[in-house]
Amino acid sequence: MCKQFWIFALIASCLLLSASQVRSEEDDVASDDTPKVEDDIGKASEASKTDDEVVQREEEAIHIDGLSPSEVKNLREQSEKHVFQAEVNRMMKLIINSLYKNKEIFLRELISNSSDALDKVRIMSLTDSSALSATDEMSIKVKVDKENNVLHVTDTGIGMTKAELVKNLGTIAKSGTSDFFEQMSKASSEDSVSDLIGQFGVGFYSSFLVADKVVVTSKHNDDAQYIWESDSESFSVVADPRGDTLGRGTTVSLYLKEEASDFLEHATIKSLIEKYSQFINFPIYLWSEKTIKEEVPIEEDEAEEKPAEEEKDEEATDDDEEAEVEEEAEEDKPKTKTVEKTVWDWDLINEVKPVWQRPAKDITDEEYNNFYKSITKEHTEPLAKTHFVAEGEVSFKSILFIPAGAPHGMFQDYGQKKTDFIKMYVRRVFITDDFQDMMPKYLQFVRGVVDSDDLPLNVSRETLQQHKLLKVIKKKLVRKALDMIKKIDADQYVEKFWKEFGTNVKLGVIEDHSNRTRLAKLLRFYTSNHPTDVSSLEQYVERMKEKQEKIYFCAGHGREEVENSPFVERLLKKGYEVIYLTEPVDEYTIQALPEFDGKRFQNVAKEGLGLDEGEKAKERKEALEKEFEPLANWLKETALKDKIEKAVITERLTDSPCALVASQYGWSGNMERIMKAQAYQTQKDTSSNYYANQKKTLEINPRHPLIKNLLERVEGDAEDKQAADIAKVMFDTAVLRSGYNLKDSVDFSKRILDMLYSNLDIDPDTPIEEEPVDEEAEEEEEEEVDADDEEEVDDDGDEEEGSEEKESSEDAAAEETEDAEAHDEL
Amino acid sequence: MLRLLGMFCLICTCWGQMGKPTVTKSKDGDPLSGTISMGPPDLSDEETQANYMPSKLRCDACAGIAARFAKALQKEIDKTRATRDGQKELDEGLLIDIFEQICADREWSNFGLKEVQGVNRISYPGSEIAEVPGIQQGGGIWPRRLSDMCYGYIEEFEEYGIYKAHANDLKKGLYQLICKKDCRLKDKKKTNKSEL
Repeated sequence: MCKQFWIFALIASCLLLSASQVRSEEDDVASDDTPKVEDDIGKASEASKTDDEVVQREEEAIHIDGLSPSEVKNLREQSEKHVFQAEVNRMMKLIINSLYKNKEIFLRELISNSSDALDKVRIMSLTDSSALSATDEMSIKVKVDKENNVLHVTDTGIGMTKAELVKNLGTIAKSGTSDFFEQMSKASSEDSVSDLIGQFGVGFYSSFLVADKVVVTSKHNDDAQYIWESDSESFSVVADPRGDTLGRGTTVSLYLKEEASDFLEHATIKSLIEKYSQFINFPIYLWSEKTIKEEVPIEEDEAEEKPAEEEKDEEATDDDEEAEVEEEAEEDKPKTKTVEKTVWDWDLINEVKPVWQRPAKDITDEEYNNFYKSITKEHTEPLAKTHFVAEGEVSFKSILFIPAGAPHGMFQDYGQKKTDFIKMYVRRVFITDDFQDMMPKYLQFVRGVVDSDDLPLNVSRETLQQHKLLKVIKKKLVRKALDMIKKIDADQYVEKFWKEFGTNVKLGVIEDHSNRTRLAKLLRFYTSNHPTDVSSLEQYVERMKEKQEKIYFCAGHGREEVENSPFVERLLKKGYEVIYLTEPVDEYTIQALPEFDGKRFQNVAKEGLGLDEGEKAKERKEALEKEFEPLANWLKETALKDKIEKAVITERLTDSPCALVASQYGWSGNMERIMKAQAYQTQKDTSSNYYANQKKTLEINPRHPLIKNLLERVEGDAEDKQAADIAKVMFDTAVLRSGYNLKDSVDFSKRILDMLYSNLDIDPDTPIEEEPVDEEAEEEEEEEVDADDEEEVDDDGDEEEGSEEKESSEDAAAEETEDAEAHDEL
Repeated sequence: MLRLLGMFCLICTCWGQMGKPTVTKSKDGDPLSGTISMGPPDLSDEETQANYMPSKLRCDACAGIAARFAKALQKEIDKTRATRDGQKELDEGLLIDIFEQICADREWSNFGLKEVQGVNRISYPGSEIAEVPGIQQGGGIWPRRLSDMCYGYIEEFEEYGIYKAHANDLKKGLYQLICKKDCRLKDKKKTNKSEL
């Protein structure tokens, strides 16, 4: 029994064991199917996943030379955090959105900023010898760090203090922002946007086109070295724990975006520097790989033991370009070998010699154009250029350009905003582009460089301003600029230059007394000779009729007005050419010109036309004068007493009955209108009142039926009231047609209405019909507080609808007067 | 334009003979006493109002400007022995200053119009006309006209050209150069040839 029990127990335990074995196997299978939760699941290698290593990875990415990742981390914790000024954010977005296809300009902008910083320290060094004490070097160095995806641009310029870092790289000047945004919104192409960012000094922000992060390390003479760092959202500034590593200057390090990896290619960067920055006047170095050959001594044993191997090596080297070592095997010579070594060094990329220093014949048009673009930050090619060397008491070299278009708002700021586009160099050292009157106001659009050897280097801009030699330079520059303009090809001149800068030339005639004749030759005006083309004064003089002594001109609002002016009628009929002055500045310009080529100017709206000089014509005129003498006298003494100086037989009218002519030296209608429209004009101005109140001469056309009729009437009855009225209306129309303002418009409109009554046979005393009064309206009016106002409106409305009551005639007259005035103003 | 309205400045230079004087003898018959009355010169519209120097007056005006140029240049030349001896020329910057100062003058004091024997002439310091007693009219439009002419000569002959003309012939060189057209001077070389 006991034995049986043991056997049973044994079997049972075996079964139990086997069952547990099966379960554990089942468990194993089941555990393979169940998802695992790993402790370190977040530590994935893909950057796209968010995990606690992201920050660490980024920290590691910001590899600042000489600092470990943890030091960088500490640095970050200590740094001062700032947010960008709202405008900067807006501007960065604008730049990034508009220039995403033209990313490469970031390098041009950074190099241009470096060049400006170098210019600044060089100017400073002229007066402060310690400015360059940290380092004499003046260079821009570009280094590609392919391993870490970083591009460094380093200069030894003036550097930035901590405050300047915050200010320059975190804000933009308020004054310029609105203008910048306005122009950006108008910018039509990427090219023009890229021009704008340079002009507004915001080129630095284009770094974010290619970089996720930008680190700026800067050392100014007056401060410690600081690190500025930004991811384009916010920025931080902290003192550099490495201390002063730059000496002086700035390093901009761009941590390039993945898609911008092309800018890590040495060849790309080199070609960009060559493309954009060839005219930078500081050396630009690129950290480059070079293969050099070097003679190294051969160790004795080596030379003796392995001559055969050397030969083999040599052959192998020839075949394999990448092999680094080449050994010579000439046994007789001293025991040295030439070794090819790959070294890294700074390679000079740009030609530092300024383009203006080179002989003009060696410079291609393309080089000039590129130079122009580099100094102006424009993308269009210049309209004209001149490259010259001035010699004499002061010698200087200069290149001047005329831009293709006028600068924005040239006349809005005319004479107030002092901008000069001339860069001044002394012995190739940039001094300033802010001389303010290097060019006269009217030539402020001219751009270029001037480099003189004769001016002192170590003076401030202010003292240089007073320098006598500068006057000589200025004078010569103006003459050369005018020469350059004169030489522009005739078609281009009219098509491009005159359209953009015509007003400048006109203002030049007024302002620049000592170049008036030169400028007069550059003037172009519309004339009766051609419906659409402009003429020069020289061309006009060439076409003048044989006995014509004066240059005739007529001034007014537009071509149509002057063409149809009564003053030009007879001149055109007789084949004289008349210059049409259609811009407000034109008549001023001509007044500033006493003569052209010995010919005086004659305003056809003034006395002294000087036509009909022949004997027969004189006789004819005398006869007519005698015939019309009664009318002329009657007009002066009776009908238009106190209104005209005299009435004379016309020498300029053909179709019009009469015209009002200013005295030779008085104001024409056009001038009177312009003078009265001046912002500074007041009613009490004695000068304008003197001219405006000058009595004019009424010229009458003896061939006109109205004048003939009037003569008959006057000869019949000098007291004829209708004749007097006609004379007055004729005078009024002459005032208007001659471009003057009607002084008494109420009287004028009354006369016109009287004539209407008379023509329609309506008795002027006919009462005007009363307006029917609406009872309901009346009740409502009583209830409303402001009923009076409404009543007036209603009354006016009714009156306008042609009531014939006499009382209303004055109101209607007033309205017509307004119309007449409005028309006149137009 | 405002200058047109400028008040005319009447300067009575001295008493005696004049353009159109009226002489009234003393009532008491004393030959040594009496009154002389005179008025301002009689001007045409052109002379009063034109913005340019009337043609008839250009020669006088030019001579006046030439005299001013010559005087100012000589003053600078006399300052150093080197320039006086012709070993050194005046600086270009200085020349620009000299001429600019003259042309930009807003006064042109002692320049003006005077009627001499019924003819209107420009009188200026050092001229024969200045010696003739009479009433001289200056100010107003005259400075502008003279300035315009002055600048015109600078533009045409340039500072250095004018200076050299003076340096070569201190007495008449400058006048011969700039006033040739206005005073219808004969060409110096041609005159010499015909004399030969």
